[in-house]
Amino acid sequence: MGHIVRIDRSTRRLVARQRAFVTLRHIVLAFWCLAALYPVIWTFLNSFRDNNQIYADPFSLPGPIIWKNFARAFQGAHLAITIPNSLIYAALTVVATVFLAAMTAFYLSKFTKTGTMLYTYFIIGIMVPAQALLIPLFVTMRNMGLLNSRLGIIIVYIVTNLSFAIFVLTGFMRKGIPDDLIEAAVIDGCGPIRVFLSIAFPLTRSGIATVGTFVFLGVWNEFLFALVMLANPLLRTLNLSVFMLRGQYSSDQGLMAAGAVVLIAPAILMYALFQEQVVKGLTAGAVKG
Amino acid sequence: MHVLRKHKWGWLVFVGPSFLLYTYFVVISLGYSIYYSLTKWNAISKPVFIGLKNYLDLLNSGDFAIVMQNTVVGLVLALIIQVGLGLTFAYLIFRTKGGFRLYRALVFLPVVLSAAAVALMFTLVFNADVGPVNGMLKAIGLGALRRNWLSDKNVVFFTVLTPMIWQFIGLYVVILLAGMQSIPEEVIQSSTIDGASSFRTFRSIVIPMQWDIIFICITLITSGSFKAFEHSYIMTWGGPGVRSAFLGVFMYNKTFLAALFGLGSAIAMVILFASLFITLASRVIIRRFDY
Repeated sequence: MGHIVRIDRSTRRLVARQRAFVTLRHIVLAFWCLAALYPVIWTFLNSFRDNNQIYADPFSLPGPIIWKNFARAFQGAHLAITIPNSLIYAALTVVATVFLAAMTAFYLSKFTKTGTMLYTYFIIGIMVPAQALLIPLFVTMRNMGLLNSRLGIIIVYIVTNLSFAIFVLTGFMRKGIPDDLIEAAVIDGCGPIRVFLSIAFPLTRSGIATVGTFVFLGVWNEFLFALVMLANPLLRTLNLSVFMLRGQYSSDQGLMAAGAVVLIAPAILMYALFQEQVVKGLTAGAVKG
Repeated sequence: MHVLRKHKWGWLVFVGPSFLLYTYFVVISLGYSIYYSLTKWNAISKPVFIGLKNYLDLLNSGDFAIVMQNTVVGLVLALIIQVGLGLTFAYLIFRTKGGFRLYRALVFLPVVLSAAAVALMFTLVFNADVGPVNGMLKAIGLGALRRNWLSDKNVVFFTVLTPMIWQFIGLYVVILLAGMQSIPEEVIQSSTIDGASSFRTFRSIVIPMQWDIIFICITLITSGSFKAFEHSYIMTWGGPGVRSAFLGVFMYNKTFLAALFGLGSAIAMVILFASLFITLASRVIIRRFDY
């Protein structure tokens, strides 16, 4: 009897120790998540308070909730213009990049053997940081009269994302489209364009979703080219217009917080909706090199 | 695919548009960039060829030395903190059954935000009067450490570096976590049954099996540090002077504020070749690891 009790006691101690470890792990992780998100939470809370409240006590929860920061950010940053601008640039870039890259990837994966010169030629572009293209693209666009134009900035976004898109989609098409299927379609009388539109493109959906999310977030978050190329206030992106609040209203804490919230809310919403896709897209984007 | 290869015009239809865009706007642009870097040019008059003078000017410039020093110190700190914390937290999440997805989701969140938004948030966080950093220092009795974080030339570099490091830890956690999940479950189980502590398993099994992924992270952090722009530009405009500037901000200021397009292009070439060198060198090393 005593023997059994002893085993029981030591097992219980082991279980207790393990449980303590699990709890400790959760405490550490939860604490870290809080630290990671604290600036976001703090900014969010302060976007509902005015300067007097913030200066009186920057830490308390918002007393009476104040919406006027958002109204003023909306005007000051011309959000009614710049939000649609950002959406248009991102959407058109995604559509154009995905279509161009899918066509090229189709050729590279199905018309030629793997590892051709042409493939290498396109893929080298992944290693080129966009900053190295800033000056020559600025000059080229100026000479073409495409500074301060939607077309100009969209072309810039397409060419800086093209290599990565081709790289990912070629991989997807090599693995994802059975050659037998194409052969069968060709025997049934499909031409290459038909094969691309009705077989290759639909079968690469998950690759296209990955590339699409990556490119969309990339353009939505892009700052440097917008700064250099879009001086016209009517063409500015959301990113740029919110940044400009910093110059004009730098002492108005609540207003800047509201601007930051407007800027991050869509990205967080997109992340919440398409979490797996976004993580896959961004980590693929990171490991691309 | 031989059935398609007989269509000789496939090239033109499928590759033509991408090829033209890519060649004209990327490949030829890089050629122009190299040429501009050998000239003195204000983007309006004709460029004057001056050979390597821009590069020599950079080597002799005190500002460039500070910017390079910022880049290197920032890189070393980023490597230590991002890889260190990334590994630690990836492992903690990896060994956690409940809440695994929630933690991963929260940790990754800052990665999806625009760098401009993050920079703006940290401008507020580091605000000397109402920012929580000074507020907390005061609350825990370290009021003497309060600073004008955004303008004090002794600390401004670290102020700018903080959001740069903070924002991307989550990326490395997720990459390392994916690597850890590819370790066969039996390996972890048998080490636990053999009585290895959690830390021992981490040190003797997880880390050695993760070397190639850790290496990918190191490459990413390194090449990323040569592309830093938004945080530094938005929080401090790289200042005071160039105290908190990285190569991108230095290039932007020289090119678009001082109208030195030649010198700016030379800085762009430093960015380009540093990134190319790191990417290629890492490929060679990874291949050696894989044999």
